[in-house]
Amino acid sequence: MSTLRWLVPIAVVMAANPGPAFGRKAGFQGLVGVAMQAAGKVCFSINSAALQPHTFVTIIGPGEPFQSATAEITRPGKNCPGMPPGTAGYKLRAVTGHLEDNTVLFGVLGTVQVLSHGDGTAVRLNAVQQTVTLRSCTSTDGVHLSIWNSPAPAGARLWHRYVYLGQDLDASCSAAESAE
Amino acid sequence: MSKPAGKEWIAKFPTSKSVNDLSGSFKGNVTKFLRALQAAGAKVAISATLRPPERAYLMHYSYEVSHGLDPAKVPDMKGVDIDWTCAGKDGKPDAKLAVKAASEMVAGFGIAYRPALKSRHSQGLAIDMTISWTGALTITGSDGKAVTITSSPRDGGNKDLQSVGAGYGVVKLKTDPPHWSSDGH
Repeated sequence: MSTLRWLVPIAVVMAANPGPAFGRKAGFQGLVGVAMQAAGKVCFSINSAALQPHTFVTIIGPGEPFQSATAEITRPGKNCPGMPPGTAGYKLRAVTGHLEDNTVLFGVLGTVQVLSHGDGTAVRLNAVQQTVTLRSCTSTDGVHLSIWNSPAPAGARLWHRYVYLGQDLDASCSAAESAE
Repeated sequence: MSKPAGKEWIAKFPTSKSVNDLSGSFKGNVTKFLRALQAAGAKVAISATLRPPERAYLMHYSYEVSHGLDPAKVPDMKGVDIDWTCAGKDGKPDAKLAVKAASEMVAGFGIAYRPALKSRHSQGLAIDMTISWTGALTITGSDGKAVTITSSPRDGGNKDLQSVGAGYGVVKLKTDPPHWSSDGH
């Protein structure tokens, strides 16, 4: 496990349009989505249909290898594969960082500070001024992304998304992480 | 003569979406359950049934070789005449080429996570499908009695529908929304 001993600002400079403001009570549905890169192109799916071009997105892959990048929305696009109906898809243009193809990643509107990473990634979501833990794990056919209010899998799960990959995978999820 | 590893293998042994490719009694059970769903007016979209064991083998070991497994140590599989070592005409393994070829396969398969070597899909005992309906769903159970489902969600995550499916021998796996199998795994 590698732990960063100091705050690592993934991005401190906001783009022209940082996206909508979120309060603690708003939850994460319109703040956090799923990002995937295939053949170098990044898709982003989120429960928010009105995001504007240049909206800033921080992308984080909490697994191994740890991944982080910053990107901005260029225009509406197709949903990422395996996403449920009702989520809006966007095309992203990477600004900084490197992403592995075909991994399922968190896409967070606005900036994020990574506090530590290893068995889950602790981050500060600047849009809601909240520290949470991001987890990624595999089940039989897909990937579960989850957000916890303390080091997972203890505490409360605040957000969850399943992405169907259509492949037989070695399952790594705990029951709490993969519960619907 | 075996063919060297590489992206030419990706299109072989594709995943099936046909119920006819399922195994044994599970095929009949799924057929009956799907017939009941259709008669009830539910929409069903099948994503996968059989993932051939040969495909699982190719995916699993291309990932392993690309992550450091000695290609000479990959076990043979009947019906898959692949040379993981990418040996030259002199018969000597080409370690660099083997890793490159395996990595090409990993990229071609779209693999980012460690593939399982054996699964209910590779045994023909699982089906991935998206089920949806509107309003109340009145469906005939395996005992011939009609069951009316008014609860939510109106999809495969519905517990009442899962009970009906289990009656047919088609059991929901809790961790993966589209996945149903012979035993819930």
